[in-house]
Amino acid sequence: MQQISDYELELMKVIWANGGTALYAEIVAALSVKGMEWTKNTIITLLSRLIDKGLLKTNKIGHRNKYTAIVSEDEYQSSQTETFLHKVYEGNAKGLVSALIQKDLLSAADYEDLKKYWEELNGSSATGN
Amino acid sequence: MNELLKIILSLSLSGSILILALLLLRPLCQNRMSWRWQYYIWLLVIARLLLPFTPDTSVTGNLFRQAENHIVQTAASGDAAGTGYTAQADNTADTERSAQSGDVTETERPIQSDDATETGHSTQSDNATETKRPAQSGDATGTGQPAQADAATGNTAPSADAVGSSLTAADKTERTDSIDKPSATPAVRISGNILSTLCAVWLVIALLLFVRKVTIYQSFVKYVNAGSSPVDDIDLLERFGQIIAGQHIRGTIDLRVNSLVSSPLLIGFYHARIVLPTVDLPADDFYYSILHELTHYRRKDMFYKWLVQLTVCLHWFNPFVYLMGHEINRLCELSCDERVIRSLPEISRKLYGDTLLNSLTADGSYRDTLASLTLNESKELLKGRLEAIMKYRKKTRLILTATLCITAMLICATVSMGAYMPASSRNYSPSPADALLSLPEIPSLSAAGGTKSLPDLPDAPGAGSFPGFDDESGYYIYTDGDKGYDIFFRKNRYSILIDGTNTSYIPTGSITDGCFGIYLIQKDEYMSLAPLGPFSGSDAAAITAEIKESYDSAASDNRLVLDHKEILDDAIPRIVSHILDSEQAPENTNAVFYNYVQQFHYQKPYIVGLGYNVPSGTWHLYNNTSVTLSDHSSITVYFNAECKKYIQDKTAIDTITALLDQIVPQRAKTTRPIKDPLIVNMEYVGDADLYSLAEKYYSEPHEDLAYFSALFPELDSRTQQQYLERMFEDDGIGFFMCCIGLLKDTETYNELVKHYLLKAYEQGDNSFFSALAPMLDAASRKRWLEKCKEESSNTFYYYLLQNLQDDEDMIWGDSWSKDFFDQKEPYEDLYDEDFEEASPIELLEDWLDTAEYEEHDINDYQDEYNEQNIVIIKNACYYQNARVRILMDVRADGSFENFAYNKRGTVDLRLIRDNNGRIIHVEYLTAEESAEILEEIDFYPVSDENDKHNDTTNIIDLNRLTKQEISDTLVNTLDSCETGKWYLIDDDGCQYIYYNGLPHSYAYEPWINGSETGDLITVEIADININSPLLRSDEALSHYVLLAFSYTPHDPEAAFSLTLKYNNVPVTYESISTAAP
Repeated sequence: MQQISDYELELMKVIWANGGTALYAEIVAALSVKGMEWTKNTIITLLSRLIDKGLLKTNKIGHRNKYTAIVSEDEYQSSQTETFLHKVYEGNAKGLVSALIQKDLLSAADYEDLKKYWEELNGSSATGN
Repeated sequence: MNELLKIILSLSLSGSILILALLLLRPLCQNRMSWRWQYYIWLLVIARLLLPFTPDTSVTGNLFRQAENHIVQTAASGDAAGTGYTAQADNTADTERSAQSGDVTETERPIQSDDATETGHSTQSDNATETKRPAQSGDATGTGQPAQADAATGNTAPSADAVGSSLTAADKTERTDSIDKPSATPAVRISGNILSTLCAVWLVIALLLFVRKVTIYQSFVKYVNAGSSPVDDIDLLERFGQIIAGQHIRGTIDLRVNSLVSSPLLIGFYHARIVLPTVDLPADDFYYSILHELTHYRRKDMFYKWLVQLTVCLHWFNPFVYLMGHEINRLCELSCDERVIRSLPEISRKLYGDTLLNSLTADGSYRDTLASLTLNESKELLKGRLEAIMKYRKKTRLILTATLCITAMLICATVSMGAYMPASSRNYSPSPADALLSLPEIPSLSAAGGTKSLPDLPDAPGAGSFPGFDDESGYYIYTDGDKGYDIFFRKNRYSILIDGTNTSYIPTGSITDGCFGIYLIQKDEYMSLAPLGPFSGSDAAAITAEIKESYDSAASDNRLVLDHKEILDDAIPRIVSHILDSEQAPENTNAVFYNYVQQFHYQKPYIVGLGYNVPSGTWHLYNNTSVTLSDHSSITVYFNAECKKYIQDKTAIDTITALLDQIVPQRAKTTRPIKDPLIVNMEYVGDADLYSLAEKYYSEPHEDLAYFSALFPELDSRTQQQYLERMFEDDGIGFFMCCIGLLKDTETYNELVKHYLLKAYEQGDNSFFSALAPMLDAASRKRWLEKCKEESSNTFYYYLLQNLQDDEDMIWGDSWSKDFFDQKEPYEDLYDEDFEEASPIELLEDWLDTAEYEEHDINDYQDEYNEQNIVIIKNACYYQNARVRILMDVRADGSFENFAYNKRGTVDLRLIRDNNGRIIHVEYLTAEESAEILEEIDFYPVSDENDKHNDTTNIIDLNRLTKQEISDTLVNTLDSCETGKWYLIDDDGCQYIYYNGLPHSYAYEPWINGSETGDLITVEIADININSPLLRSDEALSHYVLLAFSYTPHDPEAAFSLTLKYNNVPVTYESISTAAP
């Protein structure tokens, strides 16, 4: 998956938050709620860059463009995590998790939840990792 | 096939002539016509080069057809011989024939030989005959089956005919029809053969060239795209987005960066993007580069460029086309610059020029100017562009007219140049191409005389046909008949408003009683014949002669343009008759000068000119009668000399009574109650229909604003609005302003003002805009200020600003005033070697160092300053009744004409002169500027004007005040003052002049006439119009006059007396003090 800029991500978040599809007007409204009152040119430019990068597609409804996310937020997050993991931890997930725990980014309760989830996953299917 | 070649050659020929004509015109157009016109006029040439439309007769068409006829004749004569030859030895070798054709082709090729339909066929038949010849010739001679041969070669195969005819004499009669087509000789046929080869060569090369251009462009785009990355900086994107929004561009444009490009460029047709060399451009450079590229985008220059490329490819054999391509490229940039700077204030033009220069120094390794639009192309072109930016000015109407004329001529020339058209298609008239260009009438036009227009073309502008072409001054002189000017009269000043000017251009200043001033006013300057009189003669002829004398001398030493003299010649007799008709006749030395309010009313069966609030001092001048109104009150009606006969006329008196009955109660509650009416005009209109009357007085020859204004309020609102629309369209600003003013109390007034203001704004109509601006309510005015500022509409912004003087509103104007200050720097030679600009302070130093300063005397400027409302009293300057501390008088180049300092002054002024040394603008200095200059003065021994001239001055100050600016005690005193009386109020040692109850729509312009002895002071108070820029907006709302008056005699013990004059009539006043109960 191609890397996207912070502002493009903001737009993706808006579209994801809107249920994966959004009209231009809805995007503008959502952005202004976030305090990002961008000009039309900026927004459309960023959207078309996202289309070029394969994260969005557009179809016309009347005269208006409807932007649909091709990639879901989960997919994006896991793909980004994977990239990050490979880039920074060279694929060593343990290192990442221990860094999260060390920095208290992962609380004990979170850890217990995850552990339970992991065990459940292992219990239902034999495959891991 | 070779018909196509003929068409192309003919198009190329006529195109070349046009290209030459335009290139020859270039020195004349440059700097005169707009670049945009120069750019788009080439579209005509391109149309000529691409579209084979033609009128019935055209230059090249004729040329080609003559050539054709010539060939036809020679061919015909050759036919006989040829036929004989063929008949005798038809089967002689083809080699012989081709040898012959070789000769013929030599002579015939340049001038095309054939006729449309036939060539098409004969080309076909050529091929056919070529292959079948051996068999045919054998058969034909041997078996005598010419009919078969005909069928085989196609029935127009003429050689077969010829053979056949020579062989079978019996068939000859039947075949006469086909035989008389003489062009079908072998020679011509075979030359056609060569031509088709040529045609193919031409086409192949054209195609190859075009394909090559397209691939080069594509690979360039690919290259730029591949090396570029999208701009991720949201700030930059936002700035970019805002510029796009500001330019009202609909599409979206991506912004990318590629360090390999040398300057910002625009690529892509549908998915346009602007590629920057770097994201680290300085803000100004970024802004102006983008503005430039967006302008290209908006004008769709890409398509134009490709059209040119296509033309160049098709006419690849024509060297002129390359010249054209080069010229269009140059003009594309120049006109783009022009478009950009048109919306920029002058200060920004310089910045724009900077950007152009900066882009040249930027490095980049990939340059391509084929069909992308870059900011700069070459140093040479850049030089021209900088020059054009600095020379940019608005085109005058004259130039526009000339432009239109030349355009029309070029269109005629284009069409009449024509093209070679095959005979078959000549009948299709009008051709589709004509319709496409919507020039249906042009064929007949050019048929009449179009062919002659060409030789005249290059020297036409310089010659007499455009009389004003050498006129650089931008006067609007050439006007339509006697509608070309208006005479405006106020007090003893007549202003002749030339085409498009309005009363806001009228200079202020005073003229001594008994004298008259006549001002000839143009938009950018005025000429005054002031003061005139008192006149020695008393009849019209004598006075006219005296006035003429004063401008004849001006005309003789070329200070007066001939056309202005004509206007004066026409206007002066009218003014003189007005002088003689008015009560202010100058020969009466005791004449009383006064103003009263005057309005025309329609009251069947008369139009009544009614003056009212006539000053009591003048009552004795008029006959009068008393009428009784329906409420049994009686009112004295005065009649001027012209109208006194109506006193005996019962109908007239009844009409007046009815009128007063209607309007007196109406006005009683308003700020303009009707008192002391004076009948100045009675026009009997009988039972005429209101609407036809209105139309009569609106249009020639009975055009009369006064009468029309009487009828206008009586019309229904739909008709009123229709008239307003007409006045606006007709540029009848006098009518328009008067009539829209009459609607002031109606509901639609504000809407109408806004509507027309927007219209004037959109059409760039300064006069309407400046006239309408003061009518805006405060809220709309603020919105307009913002709009104008956003859209950089400087002139309009300034008009709006003129009406805003109070502190709160000045917040809006602050940044503007600063810009305005910066704008006054010398730009003319900015781009010479010396880039250093001298600051105003340095220039001041320079000036103080020169002997010029030692010698100057402020009194030398008295007249000039007076016209700007700056009064010089005892070597001290006063502006708007405040004493001037710093007075900078700055020439167009920034150097100083004059500088005066008076430490007791309170306001700091800058006067700005134009290149002709006329003062064009007066403005206040900002606090920073003042501080800067005061600091400078400390270092220099600037003498105080008062010190320099022996301090014996008695100081008088006079200021207009509003209620907000005075103490509560004084307000209370004012409230207790009687209406209709003048007061001199002493409040704790300060004197105030006050009058309660003057009409709402007037405010007062006070003048001081100090006397030499200092003990007699006259304060003159005159009406000023509510729209006057002298009037502050808060004052306009105050329905009273209050003047702070202070007198500081040199000798504090000296007694003085004060005389008050209101509109030149001395008035009595009561002196009171706030201390009194």
